[in-house]
Amino acid sequence: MSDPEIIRLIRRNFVPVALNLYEIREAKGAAGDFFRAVQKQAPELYQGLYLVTPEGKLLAAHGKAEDPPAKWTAAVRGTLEQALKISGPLPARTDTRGDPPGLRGKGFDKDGSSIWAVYTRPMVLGLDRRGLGDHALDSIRISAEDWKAWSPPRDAVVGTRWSLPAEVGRKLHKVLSPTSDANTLARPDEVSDATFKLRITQITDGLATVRIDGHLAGIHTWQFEPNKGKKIRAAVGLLGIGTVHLKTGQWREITLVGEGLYSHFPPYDEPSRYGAVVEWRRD
Amino acid sequence: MTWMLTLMLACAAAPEGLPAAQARAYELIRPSAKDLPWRQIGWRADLLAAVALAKEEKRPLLLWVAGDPPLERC
Repeated sequence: MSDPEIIRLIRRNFVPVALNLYEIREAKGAAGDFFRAVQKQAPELYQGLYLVTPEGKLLAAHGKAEDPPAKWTAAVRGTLEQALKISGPLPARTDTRGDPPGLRGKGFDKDGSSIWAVYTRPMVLGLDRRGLGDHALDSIRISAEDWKAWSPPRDAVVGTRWSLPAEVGRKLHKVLSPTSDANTLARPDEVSDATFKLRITQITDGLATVRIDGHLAGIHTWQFEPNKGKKIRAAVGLLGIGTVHLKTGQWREITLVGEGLYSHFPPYDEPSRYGAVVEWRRD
Repeated sequence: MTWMLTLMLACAAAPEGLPAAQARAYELIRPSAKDLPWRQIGWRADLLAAVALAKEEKRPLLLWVAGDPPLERC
């Protein structure tokens, strides 16, 4: 999806919609009905691209993960061109704006929860660019109740320390894989250590700067044959900073940066280094 | 202003107060706009609104369907 020609073809010709499979296939009402009717026309497809008319007729589809990426790119381009061949020539779109970005990494939802943005990346040579791998994106839902655990005591002063309950710290389990793939990632109940210590380092006009030291570790059990039962291990040390209004207990921003070690199941269990960033801002 | 915005997105600066090593790591780990070119596509999230728009524009829809939030994939 990062190929410039594919991006050009999509922007020029199609109304692009990004859908979460697990949500849309269960959705009640017209949107769910529309998607299920499309899905029935390509029953072999699980995740991927569907090109459809506004009436729901399938023009083309692609869902097979091709390797190497160049093959995937060629296949997707072929799928787009197939759909365009059926639909006939189209004038270029003049307004290609999408919906506003969601709450990922910013603000609060109606129920007081937030979505923290997570980024991970292989960094086999540490900060040396030659060892960098692909970016992975993920997110973490922090409930209004979780926020309370993050906030400092009401009478906090410079030097005040507090810790997160382990069940709140476990919510950050998504940093336990360089690829963020759920199949490689320790679930919250597989997290063996979730230690987060917070300390106020400075207070200016009621805004406290907080240093955060964290450690997460987990062991994930692979779910599928022929490797079912094999263990994947990861541990990450996180260091972060944030600011919080002492009067209200409301955070303004939080950033955590982590360095991790990841060991896939044997025989691919040579530990490899990776990095993680977790961030959120109120505005 | 557009080029300034682009430049800002392309160079996500580490927040103040992070130690130098973490600030450097932040800049390497957090993707910039150029690392996520598929975000140049104006994705819609509301399927029915998108269908109505496609009818109005008389053109097909592209549905990108993934098991996780699809805009977290590339």
